Amino acid sequence: MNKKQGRAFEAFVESEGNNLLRLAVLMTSNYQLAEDAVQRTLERLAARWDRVEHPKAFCRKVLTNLVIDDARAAARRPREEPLSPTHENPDPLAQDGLSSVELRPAVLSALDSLTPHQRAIVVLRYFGDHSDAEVSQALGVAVGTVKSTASRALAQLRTHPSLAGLFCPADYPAR
Amino acid sequence: MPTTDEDLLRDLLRGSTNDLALRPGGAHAIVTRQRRRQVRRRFAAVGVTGVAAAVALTVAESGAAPQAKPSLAGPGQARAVHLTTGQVVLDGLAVRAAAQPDGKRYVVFTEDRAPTKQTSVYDRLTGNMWVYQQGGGAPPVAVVKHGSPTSAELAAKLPANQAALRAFLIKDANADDAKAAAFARRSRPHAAPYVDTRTSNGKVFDQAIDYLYMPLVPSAQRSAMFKLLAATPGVQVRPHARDSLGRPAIMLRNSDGPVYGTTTVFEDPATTRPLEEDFAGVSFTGKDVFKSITFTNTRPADPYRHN
Repeated sequence: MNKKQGRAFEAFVESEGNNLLRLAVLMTSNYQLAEDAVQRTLERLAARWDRVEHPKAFCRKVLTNLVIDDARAAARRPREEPLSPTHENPDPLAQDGLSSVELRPAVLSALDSLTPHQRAIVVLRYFGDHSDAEVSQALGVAVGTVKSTASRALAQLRTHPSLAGLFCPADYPAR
Repeated sequence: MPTTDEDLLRDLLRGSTNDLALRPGGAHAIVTRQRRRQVRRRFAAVGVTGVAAAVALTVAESGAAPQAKPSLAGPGQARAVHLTTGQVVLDGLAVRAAAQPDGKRYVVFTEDRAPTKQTSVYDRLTGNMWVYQQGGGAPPVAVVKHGSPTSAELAAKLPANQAALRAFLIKDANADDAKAAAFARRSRPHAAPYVDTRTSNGKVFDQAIDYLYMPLVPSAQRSAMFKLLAATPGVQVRPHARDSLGRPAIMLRNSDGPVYGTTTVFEDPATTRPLEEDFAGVSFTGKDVFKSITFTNTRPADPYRHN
């Protein structure tokens, strides 16, 4: 990495680093795992900086793959339970009065109910505001799969206890 | 005010993570790490000039290298030298490294950095590199012309004399630190200036480990690195260790300052080649595992082509 590339990489991390971390936290529910995934992603980006045309897309793809692979690996290991909960689940209906720290456990708990793939699609689509085509490219699945998975995941989130009553009943799909 | 469930979900996802920010210094740690990786393949700087060599030797003689204490033994009496276990092990590695053949043209490195598999082929004569990769969104193959110094360039660059080698490695580390400090100034102009807290011994350890990882360093120079490490205080040695894959290994470790943390390397006791390198800093950890290092006279094809 030469001087010019170093400056460009630095600017990229300055502008996108926080977003990547937030994306990773939403995908993993764990700050340490998220930080680790972002670090590994940026490391890979730094190693290929001169060959990567679209750093944002590269990071999106690498980060998502890392998180999904880690989640699959974790699923094969015995489940780890925290010794004591660090947060009480707040009432998300009182969102106006809640800070990010208070709101996060409810949102992450709802996201935990999704499969790693569903979760990645929801986070990329709604948090990252990426188009279905971009999400399909990042995950290597068809655009139709992105749409149907997002729809099913949204339906599941609507009924999750930690977000119960928050969504509009009129938007529920007909059953 | 959100109007649909999709808008509401967007607001929830953003609102719940607004306060999260990447730790300061993260980018610097990555660049430092990248610098360490690049040192293995960077083009050799123009060989040490006469002036630089003279400066290096002066530094070595003026105290960078351990001064020989005046002997208490009388003339004609041999002074007993007691080596520590670590020094004996490192001397053994130096002897075995010197005996390794340098004959074959290509060095083939296989790494596994889940989910990416990588095989790198280095040409000893031209320094050309072929990098074959699979997984992790990486391009499948890259050819880097003269991506590494050739074995002949490294042999000319690295002094065989222990004091000169020590001075050279410290100078090399200082040059790298100057680059890291300049980067830190640019990336965070208002933060406290970057200060390298490593001792000279720590710098010698770090640079020696980097050169031991460069696949085209000739056997004689690798042997000299091990001898120098045996004479460097602070290097911890465990002769009967195992790496993370469970392979028998000789472990070398050095802890040096909060920025650089602890570096642990595992060397193959038989071939003296690296098996694994681990870093553990304040906000940064990393691990490189080499699955195999082989030598051949014909350049291997892309092993992942049919996968």
